[in-house]
Amino acid sequence: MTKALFLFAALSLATVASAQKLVIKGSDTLGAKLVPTLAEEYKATHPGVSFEIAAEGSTTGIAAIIDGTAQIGMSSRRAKPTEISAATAKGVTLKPIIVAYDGMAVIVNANSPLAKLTLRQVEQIFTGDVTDWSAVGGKPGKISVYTRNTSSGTYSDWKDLAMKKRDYAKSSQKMAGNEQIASEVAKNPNGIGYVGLAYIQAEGIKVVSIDGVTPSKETVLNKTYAYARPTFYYTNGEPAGEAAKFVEFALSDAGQKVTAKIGFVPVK
Amino acid sequence: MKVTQIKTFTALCGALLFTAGAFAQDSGALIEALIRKGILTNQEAEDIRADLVRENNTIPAHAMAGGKTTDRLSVGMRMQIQYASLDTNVTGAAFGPVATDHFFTRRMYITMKAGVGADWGATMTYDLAGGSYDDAILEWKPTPDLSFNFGLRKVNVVNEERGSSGNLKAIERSGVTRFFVETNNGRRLGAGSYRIGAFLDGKKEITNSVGIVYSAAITNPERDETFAGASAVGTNATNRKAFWGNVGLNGKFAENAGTWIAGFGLGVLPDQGGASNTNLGRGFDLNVYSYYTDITYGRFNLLAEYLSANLEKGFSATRDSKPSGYYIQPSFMLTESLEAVARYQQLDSDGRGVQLGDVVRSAPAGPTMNKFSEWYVGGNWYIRGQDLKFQLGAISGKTKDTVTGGPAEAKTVGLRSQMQLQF
Repeated sequence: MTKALFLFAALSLATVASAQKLVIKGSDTLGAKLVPTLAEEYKATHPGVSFEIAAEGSTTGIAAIIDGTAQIGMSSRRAKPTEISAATAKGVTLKPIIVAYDGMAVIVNANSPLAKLTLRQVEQIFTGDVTDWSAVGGKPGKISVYTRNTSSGTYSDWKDLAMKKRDYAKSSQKMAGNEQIASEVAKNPNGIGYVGLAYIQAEGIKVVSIDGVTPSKETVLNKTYAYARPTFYYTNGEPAGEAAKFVEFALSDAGQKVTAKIGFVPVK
Repeated sequence: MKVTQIKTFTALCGALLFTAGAFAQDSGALIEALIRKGILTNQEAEDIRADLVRENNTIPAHAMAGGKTTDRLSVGMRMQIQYASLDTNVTGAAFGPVATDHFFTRRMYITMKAGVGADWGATMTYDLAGGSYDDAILEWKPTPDLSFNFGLRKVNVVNEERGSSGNLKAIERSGVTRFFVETNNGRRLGAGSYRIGAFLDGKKEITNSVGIVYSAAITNPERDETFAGASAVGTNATNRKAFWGNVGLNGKFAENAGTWIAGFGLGVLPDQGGASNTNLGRGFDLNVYSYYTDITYGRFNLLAEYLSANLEKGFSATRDSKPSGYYIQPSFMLTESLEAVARYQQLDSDGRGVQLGDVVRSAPAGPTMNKFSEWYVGGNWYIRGQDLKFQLGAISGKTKDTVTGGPAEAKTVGLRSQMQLQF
């Protein structure tokens, strides 16, 4: 009995003493390109630091902060009131830090004759009110709508900004990330989807203007582009330790240069 | 910010915060206006937005909590209403046991959680349907990857038993699990589930995609989660401690296609062996072993576990018993809200004996036999995920052979359905 108690205590103490690394979870929009690139740059000047980056959607990032399984949660949307309540119930204070701005670009196949849409047409297409390209000035053909999956912040932001919070068309196909949407639209002449600015250079797609405005640094910052939004890091209270240093780096001139290079709109 | 701007900013922030309840839902336009006028930066605006939501959603802990250091309180509930129609036929018997055809409250959980600082808290869950605890623990969580529990909860041995009853895909846990962990009735072993003692649960990442999970516990040997039983001081039959351990590897498939876990659990219960349940505390030991896996790949999930036990003098005063069994449960999400589930299970009690009522919940008991097997085929409709769902399944189970090896058979066939709401 005494030996067992000793073993139990020793195992506990050994685990408490183990080291930590910088764990960042959440948004695919931020986590597929921007954060890995920032991490590489950061490691160049902080060789002792290791990263674990999991880009599985904003919901997972905020959940990871609430559960304490990550030091930084990436999110392309604001935390929902239910998430803030859940965090408070666990003694966690969700602190949003704007790291970049983004515009959600509407993309179609590069061979599509379509060059522009209105806000109303976008809503009609993504909700399934309109199902044929001929109804919005395109070549006749059944529209294939590609969206992000439900754990994505972009999925939820798009509903708020483009669809008046209505449900997606039942026929819409849910993709794991921006790159997958761009890839599917590039393969499908009747495809349409939305991606962050960092993903509009993919081959086989083109960006359509919305009410005459195309997404760019200027139109995102001056908010004339309808689907512009901030993107966030979430931490538990003010960031501390290595997480604070990384956030500081991401918001520094060097970090913001990387942000711009990847295709996001810097915060300064 | 300029002085006038600071004054305006301070006044507006004060107004916003004091009227948080009214403003939280419609303060967006005002905050946007403050940004446009250069009074707020975008970051300051985000902080205010978050504060407003927090203020609006704060639980008035000070109004309810007895302790001055209580910083969080939450209440939860799980309500499961079940219907079972199960008929048992015993081969060769003139009359079978009375059939089950009934609606009943399966679980009525009410959970209260409180925290006193970031690392310490307590959870208590009552099952009002069963008149018992589901857990009653003090928790210390010094790091996100390590927690210590003290009190009453389930031990982390026998994977299916440890998982939440709110997530069960086949409505009820397998009969094999029930045989090993439910209260020792002379046939079932009582070698798992609820115990009172000290528990440790931890995890550690090995690589980016693979980690290790582990648990250990020292507890009382007997299972008794009733209100009276949990507060009792024990008897000669329950005066030795039980030891529990579990270790597993978990990971993710490439491109986030899914997750997997595989592990092993061990329970050591001195003095808890012997034939029937009348020989507890007489020096006969009981050890239980669990090998389990849980794999999710895309829409597919596979849950499987093999359980075995060494029961000293479990068959008779001169012979040990080594019951063993397994279940395998594949499931597939047909759509985002509809899921198909199947489960097959087999148990050999090795002379300990098993009745249908021991392993098929709410089934008529039937005679004591040696082996058990069962098919379950059903579907789940996730109306609001696990929070609101409807489940329906068909059951065909049978026991066979007498404990001494003679031919015999009893069958239970029927339907089970369940509606669940939890918050």
